[in-house]
Amino acid sequence: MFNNFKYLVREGLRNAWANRLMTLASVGVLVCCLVLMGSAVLVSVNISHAMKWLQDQNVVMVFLNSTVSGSDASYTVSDVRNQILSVDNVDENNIEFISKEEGFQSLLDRFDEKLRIIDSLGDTANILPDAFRVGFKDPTRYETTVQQLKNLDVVYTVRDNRKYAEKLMGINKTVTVVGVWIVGLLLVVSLFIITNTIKLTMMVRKLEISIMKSVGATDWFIRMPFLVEGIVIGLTAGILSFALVSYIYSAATSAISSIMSAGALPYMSMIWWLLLAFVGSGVLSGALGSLFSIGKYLKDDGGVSGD
Amino acid sequence: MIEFRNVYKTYDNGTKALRDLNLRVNEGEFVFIVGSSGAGKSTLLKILMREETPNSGEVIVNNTRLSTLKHRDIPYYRRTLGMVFQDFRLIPNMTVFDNVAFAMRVTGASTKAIRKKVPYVLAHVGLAEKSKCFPNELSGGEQQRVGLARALINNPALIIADEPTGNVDPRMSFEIVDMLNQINRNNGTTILMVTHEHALVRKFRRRIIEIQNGELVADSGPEVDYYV
Repeated sequence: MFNNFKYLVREGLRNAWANRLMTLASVGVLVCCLVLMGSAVLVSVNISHAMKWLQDQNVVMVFLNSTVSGSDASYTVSDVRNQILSVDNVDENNIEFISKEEGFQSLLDRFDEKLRIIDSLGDTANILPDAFRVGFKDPTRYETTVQQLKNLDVVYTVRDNRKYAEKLMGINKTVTVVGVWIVGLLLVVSLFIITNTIKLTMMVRKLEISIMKSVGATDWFIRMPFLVEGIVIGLTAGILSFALVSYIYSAATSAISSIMSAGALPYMSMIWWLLLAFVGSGVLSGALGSLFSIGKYLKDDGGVSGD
Repeated sequence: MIEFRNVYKTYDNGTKALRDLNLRVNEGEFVFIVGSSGAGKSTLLKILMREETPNSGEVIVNNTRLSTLKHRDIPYYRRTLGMVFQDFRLIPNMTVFDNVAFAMRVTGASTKAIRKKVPYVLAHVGLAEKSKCFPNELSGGEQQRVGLARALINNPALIIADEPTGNVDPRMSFEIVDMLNQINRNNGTTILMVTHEHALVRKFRRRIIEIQNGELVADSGPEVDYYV
């Protein structure tokens, strides 16, 4: 049986090569499909990750109306701290003053060295107000606490992370819906093209198949080379799209991590899963395509002695 | 060996191909099937190869009841048959050796067994020297002998030849039928040969069955004297 297996795999590879233009077309379409699918999944995964990060924080930034540091301070830091602590849900162990200079510095730190022309502007560029980072004791009373903080005279505004989370959720939904449609459509297209590629091989090998049938080849024996051809297409597409997405992702994350404090998920943490997913879905669609195309042909007992 | 009992076959387009066909061929017989085109000969062969099933009636080949044969068992049934076609049906990009080996490989034979048996069978049909040739380098008669070697390779109990001399010149035609005749005499293989060539039929004087309009109209009777 092993002899046969080797023979059938070789036949499949021969098919793929003999038909290389169509094989290439199938691989191309499947790569497009897989790259889009992979990107959609990665974007979605990252948005979820960022969302979770934001929600886990349970912390808001409270920006102040008046300057409390420096020479022109109208309030002292401890005054304002006490005011904020008067809101009963504020966690006294999780409150931190961030002066406008510190805030500006940490903002600058997120950007690339080369982008820091702002440096040349000096202190005048700093338009950030002083702020407190405030943690809550009870996250369920989040909304009311934010409102209470906003009502304080010294408070200019409260950066509400939950609002970001909601926005992200919306983006995530859109990405998912659009992604599912694109992927679904492309999957149909690539299955169609793979099916046609295999059908073309079948046309070319019609005589061989009819002889196979006449000398008593089982369905699996006839199917194997076509299955191998489909799997070769799928495997090639899977590996290619994995490489492409890896490249795109690493390029994208280095850009994103500089502007998003949540940061992107590190690629290495999911590299094996991704490889498995890409190769798996490639092979699966290749195999399905070839089984679809030959299924009907095998069901028919005829075609042995020609027409 | 072969038994047709009250076999009817009507195609979907209304063509009545076989009408109450009754036929019995014993093991070891050599039968010519004659009849004008459209008489039902092709349908008869298609039923034997289990490409088509009759609408009613019973067909038994080699103790296999074809009406109850399951789809997955068809390949194993076909392995007990050897088929020879009018258009040879050789794979053009395979050598003579590979064409014959192909039929053996399909049955799961090992490469070792293939290397041993194919040259033997090729020698048997007189093509030992041509094993590396491609089909288009051979004459019609030689190509048909490759077809014959392929039909023989799995030791079938029954060989079905569908106008095997139709694309072969007359002198070679005689040779092909003579070879079938020898196989029948030496191995006891049952042979069913559809043909239009009355000269051949007269020359070999074996059992003749004539089919017209899907009915058996003449039968020279079983050759029971060869095998008892």
